[in-house]
Amino acid sequence: MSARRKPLEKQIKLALPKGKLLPATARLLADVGISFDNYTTETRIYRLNSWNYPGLSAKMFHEKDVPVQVAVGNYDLGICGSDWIEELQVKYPASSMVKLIDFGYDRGALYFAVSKWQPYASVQELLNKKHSLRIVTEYPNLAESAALNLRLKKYQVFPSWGSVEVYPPEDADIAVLKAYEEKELMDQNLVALQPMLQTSTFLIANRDSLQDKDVSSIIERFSKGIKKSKKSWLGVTAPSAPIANTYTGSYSRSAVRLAIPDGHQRSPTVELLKKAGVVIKGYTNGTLDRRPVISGYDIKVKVSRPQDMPLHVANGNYDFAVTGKDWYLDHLYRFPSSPITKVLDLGFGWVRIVVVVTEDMPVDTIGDIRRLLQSGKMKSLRVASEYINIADRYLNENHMNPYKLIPTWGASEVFLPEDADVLIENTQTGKTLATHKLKIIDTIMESTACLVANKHSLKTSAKRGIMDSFISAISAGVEKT
Amino acid sequence: MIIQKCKGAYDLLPSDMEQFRYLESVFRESALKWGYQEVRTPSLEYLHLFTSAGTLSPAMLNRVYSFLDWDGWSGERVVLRPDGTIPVVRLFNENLAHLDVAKLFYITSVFGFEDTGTKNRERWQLGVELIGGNTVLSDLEVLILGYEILIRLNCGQVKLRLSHAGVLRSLIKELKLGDEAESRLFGEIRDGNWDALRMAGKKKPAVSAVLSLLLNLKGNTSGFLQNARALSRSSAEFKAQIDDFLALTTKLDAMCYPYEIDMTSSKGFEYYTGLCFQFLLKDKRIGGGGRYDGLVPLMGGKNKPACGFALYADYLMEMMSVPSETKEKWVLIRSGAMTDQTAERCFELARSLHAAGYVAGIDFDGDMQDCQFTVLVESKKPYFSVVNTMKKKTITLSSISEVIDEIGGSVVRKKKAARKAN
Repeated sequence: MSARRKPLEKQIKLALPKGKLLPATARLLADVGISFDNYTTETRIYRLNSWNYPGLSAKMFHEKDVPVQVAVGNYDLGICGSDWIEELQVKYPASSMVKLIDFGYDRGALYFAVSKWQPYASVQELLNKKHSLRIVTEYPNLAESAALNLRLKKYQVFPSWGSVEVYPPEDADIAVLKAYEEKELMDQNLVALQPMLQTSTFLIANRDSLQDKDVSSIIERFSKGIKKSKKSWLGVTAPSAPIANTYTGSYSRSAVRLAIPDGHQRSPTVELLKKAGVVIKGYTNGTLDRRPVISGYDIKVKVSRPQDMPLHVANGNYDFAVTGKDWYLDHLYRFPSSPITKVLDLGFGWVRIVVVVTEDMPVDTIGDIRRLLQSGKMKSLRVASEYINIADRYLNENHMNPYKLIPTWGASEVFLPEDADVLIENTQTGKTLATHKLKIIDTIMESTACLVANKHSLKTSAKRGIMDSFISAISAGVEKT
Repeated sequence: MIIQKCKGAYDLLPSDMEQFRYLESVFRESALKWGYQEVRTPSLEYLHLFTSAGTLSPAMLNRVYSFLDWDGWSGERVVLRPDGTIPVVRLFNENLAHLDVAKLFYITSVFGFEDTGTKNRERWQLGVELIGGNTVLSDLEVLILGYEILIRLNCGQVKLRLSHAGVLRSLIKELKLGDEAESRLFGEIRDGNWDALRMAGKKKPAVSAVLSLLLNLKGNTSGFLQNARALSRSSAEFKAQIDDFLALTTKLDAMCYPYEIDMTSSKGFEYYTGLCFQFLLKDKRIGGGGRYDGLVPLMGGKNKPACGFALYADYLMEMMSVPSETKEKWVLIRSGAMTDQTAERCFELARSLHAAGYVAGIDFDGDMQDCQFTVLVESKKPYFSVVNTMKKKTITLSSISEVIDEIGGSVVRKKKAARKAN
């Protein structure tokens, strides 16, 4: 007679998206009668319990993390865009994830797009190109698969954290990006060569959960909900700030090119430029222009994600860029001979990159964790981090063996303790960590904003003078702070 | 907990390696005798080597092991070699393009992801490439070489299955489907859906009869192709291609090589332009190859025709055994009490046995299994006791030369004498 099986687990775990999908998802949950108190854009509590479904718990993740969490079995069900589902499944077709219900909101498409200033009228024309085609995208797996299926002869994929519309035509031939309609691309001076994939928001499930657990009460709620004639969640959209991308068609590879950050670093960068006496239009306030204009310097400027800048500086797309020391080092740890160098510490944006565990984990140092692993009390260490290469190096240098690195896209504190044992994350005051009952056991480095430059550009006589003069002005600005 | 190998990876144990080395030696010896020279390409190549040639299917390219190198900030990916032929063609273009004809062979592993992890994701191939040969005689040479190797391996009744990519391409061209539909049809065929071609053929009376014959029947002599040729109202291109196929099969008939023509047997690779063939053992594919005239120029080289084949070591090893006469004779050296003096004598005996052509190992702790001959080394005269386990006989001797004579004499000397006598 076979041994008795374990009692059926009754707790149902749901992975919910943060960010732009949150308002519509919250409305959907309310409409189908599943209530979470803190599922709002303002919340900092990412662990949620349903008051009308005691057996249901949820956690809020970056949308990209939802399919990964469901596929690895940390969550039974999840809600996310089909673009991120496909991005995972195209690379890992055997992943244990099943699409269940199309909710129909955040509908759009992934496009293979080029700049309207580029001479490509069709995909066929791209196929005939002998030079390497540069593809920039937030969806590197889908882009790579599309390139192979289209039989592009030679291509390079630049994975991006976002704002990919800023790259064509000078710094990328193709952008693979999501848009709700083609007009949206046209507003960014892009032309869709072909839609790659229609996207919508789905309920997904872990295959094993479907096979071994009873999650029917939740599935039934959703499936009844979508049969309603009035689907109020379809009309809910997340607010977004208008962004311009005013490329005029003039472009010279010999021009000096600077990248400055969007997001949190925008405001201190504005302050610094002001102190340096640099006048810039389209960046300081109001509508952000992805291509602001600097007066007094013969420099072309772009606004993009600080995480992406080192890669583009290394490739010569930018001669210099304002990024964080953290992202600069994360790039260098991955590509040690990359032609990028730090030229100036800008002083603002100070953070510490720290190693974090839950308060109740019986360790105070990284050495304690190593001993747990060596003794066999801990079989494998799960480490969540945005800084994959910094984390990888740190774990190797500290002889953590074995470990699994879980890439995240921000708000990593939500991963502890259920979905990761250790977090490698940046913090300013440590308050958010304390709120989540986490403790710091090591500091890997301190990071501030810095100006990084392409080493070859610094040696190019035509650029050197302009770059030196701009760096001097910024340096003077730093001294004034 | 014992740390285990990666999913989909396999260890080759001593008995596997014995098989592998035997297979390798038969393959190398045969290829060298036919005038082929050995090359080895790196395990890492640029991914664009495989994408730019446009010769591997997207399905295959989606399963390669590709990654960014430590200096891969440009996004240029490298790949663990997914195919044996394309790197050899790259090697030829880069280093040997000045040669009119290059006959090359290689023994290499190729990498490809496989879902279940129960099959090998690193597979070994033994391949030959004849670059520059443009006649049916080149096709014939590689076929006969492949056949010869398999017969020498003595692993059973090898079946040769033939097809012809040129014949199929010319028939598909005659369907006049347009670029997109034609490309779709090729995709279906690559995935093994021959019904798609059958259906498409039905709409063109000029080719439907010949397509039906070629796709639905299998031939065993060149007569089958003659019949198809006679039935055809097709183009000069088709006739030229089937004549090319006929030239080969007629020669195989004349040389009494058995084969089967199965036009639906070619799938997977897209770079073949003419003859395609497979070697089968108990209906399992153990090798295959063909003519790929377009590949060298496609990869930036001169307009050179080429053909070749590869044998699949993993499958072959399941079906072959190493003949006992090829196995090295083992002598085990052991001492009852391993003192400095007996240890020195053990090592001296081992060196002398090696020089005489024997495999001789020392059993330091007395734990190793007995061989046919085990020599016990003592500290006092007569120093050596030779135990013949098969004859259950022990003889004591006092010199190394006597030991060697007792176990059969110097193998090296015998080989030299035999060579002289020849």
